Amino acid sequence: MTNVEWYDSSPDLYPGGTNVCNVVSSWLGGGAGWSQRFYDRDSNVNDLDFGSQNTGYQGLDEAEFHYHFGHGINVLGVTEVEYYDYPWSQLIIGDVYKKWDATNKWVVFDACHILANLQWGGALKYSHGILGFSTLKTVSTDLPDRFMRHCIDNDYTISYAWQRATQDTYGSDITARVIFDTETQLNNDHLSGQGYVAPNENPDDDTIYYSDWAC
Amino acid sequence: MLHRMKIRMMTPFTIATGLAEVKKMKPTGILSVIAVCAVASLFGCSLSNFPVSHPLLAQSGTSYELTTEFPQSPATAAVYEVTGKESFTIGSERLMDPKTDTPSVDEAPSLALKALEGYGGLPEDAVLHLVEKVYLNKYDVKTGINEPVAPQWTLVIFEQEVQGNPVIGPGAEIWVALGENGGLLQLDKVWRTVKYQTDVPIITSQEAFSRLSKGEMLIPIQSGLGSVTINKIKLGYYAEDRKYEQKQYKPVWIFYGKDSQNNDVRLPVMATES
Repeated sequence: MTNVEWYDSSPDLYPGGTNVCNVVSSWLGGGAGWSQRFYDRDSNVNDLDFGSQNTGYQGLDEAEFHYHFGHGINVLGVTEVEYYDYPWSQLIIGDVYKKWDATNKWVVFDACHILANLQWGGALKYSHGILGFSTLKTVSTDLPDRFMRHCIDNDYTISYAWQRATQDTYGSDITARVIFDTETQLNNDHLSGQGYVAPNENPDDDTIYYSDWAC
Repeated sequence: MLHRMKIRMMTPFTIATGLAEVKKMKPTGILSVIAVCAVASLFGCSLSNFPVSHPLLAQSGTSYELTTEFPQSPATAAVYEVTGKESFTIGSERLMDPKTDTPSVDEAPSLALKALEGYGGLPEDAVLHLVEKVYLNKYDVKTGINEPVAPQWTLVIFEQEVQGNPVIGPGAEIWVALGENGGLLQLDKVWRTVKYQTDVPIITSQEAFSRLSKGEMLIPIQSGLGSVTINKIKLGYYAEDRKYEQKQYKPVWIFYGKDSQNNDVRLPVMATES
C-alpha cells in the first residue's frame, strides 16, 4: 500500500489515509490470508513504489494487489498522483508506461481524477486492471470496506465490486472508472482466492478496455 | 454583474503532447505568482484586492473562480427531522456484461418509473437528475482511438428535493440500471423521509464562499492545487451515507460548478454557524 496524507502545499488528508489503509489491511490480513509486501507513507512514497523500474526494487509490481491513497490532480488533461511535496514531485503516466509486468494484477487509485486520462491503461503490460475515479472524490473508509466486502465475502468480480462499492459510497457527482487490459479480465477477474482470474494478456498489445459510471 | 474573483494562472507543471513526449517539468507556480504580482503592480493593483488567489496562496489548495452573483441570503433556513430511511440494493454481476442493446436516454425515464412500481414507486419528493447510457469501451493507448464495444446499462438517477431545495450526497438517491428490452438490471435506493422541525440562523453565501475557499467543506476532497469554477450557489441539504443514522437535514450552501476538466461538481458547505 501507499498512503500520502501529509502534504507540503496541498491540503492534508490525515487521518483519512491511515484509516483507509487500516481498513484495506484489516480485510486482506484477516481470513483472506494475504500478506503485506510493503506500506510506504508520505515522504517515503515515490516512483519506485509504483514500479517505475524494471530491475531491482519493483514496488507495486512485486505485489498482486496495490492500494494507493492520496491526492490526484488533472492538469490540462494530464493526471498526476501527487506526492507529499507536490508540485515538486509526482507520478505521471510516463513513469510507469508498460512497466507493470511482474507479479502485479490490480491497482487501486483512491484519489481524484487519476483515471480521467486513459493513458494509465498503458501501464498494464501483464497486469490486469486499474480501479479509480475520473472526477473529484471525497475521503471515505466505507469505500475500501465495501469494496473488500464485495470481493471477499460476496466473491464478486473485481470490476463489479468496485461498481457496487463506489455506487453505495458516493453520489452522482462522482464518476468511477475501471480500466482492464482485456475484456475477459474486466468481466471475469476475481480477487485471488475468491474465484476465477483470467489469464494475462500475452503478447501485450496497446488496447485496453474500460467502463465508467455516475455513482 | 458577474464576479470574477480569482487570478487565473497557468500551471504547466506537466505538459503532454502524447505519451512518448510526457516529461516531468519543474513547477512554475511560484514564478507565476511573482509574475502576476509584477503585472498587477503595473496596473496599480495588489494581490490583496482579490479575495481568492492562486492555489499556492490559498489555504484550501484548490482555487475557486466565481462566475455568478451571490444569491440573497435569508437570515434563517429550515431544519428537517429525519423520520425514516429506506435503503436497499438489488442487482448482480451481470450488470457489467456487454448487452446487445439498452434503452435510449429518451425512453429510459419512463421505463425506470415502470420498474420502480414494484418497489413502492417514485417518492413524491424525487426529481429526475441524470440519464445516460453506460458502455464498455475499447481504447488504444498508442493511437488514442476510443470506441464503444457494447452498451452495459442505461442509467437513470433520481434525487430528492425538500420544499424545492436540492438534497445532495450519497444518502438521497434512486439509481436505476436498465438492460435489454428495458429490463431492470440493478436498483439502488437510499431515501430518507423528513418533516419540518425548526428554523435556524444561517451564514450568508459570501461567508460560505469564504469557508469553501479555506477548504472547509463537509468532506475533504482528494485533489490539491486544482481549480473549480463556481456558476451557481443554492441553499440545500446533504444526505449522509446510508450507514449513518442521520437525525436531521441541516441547511448547507451548495456551490455548483465545473472542475478543470469541465466535470460538474457540487460542493456543500455547512450553512449553520456551528
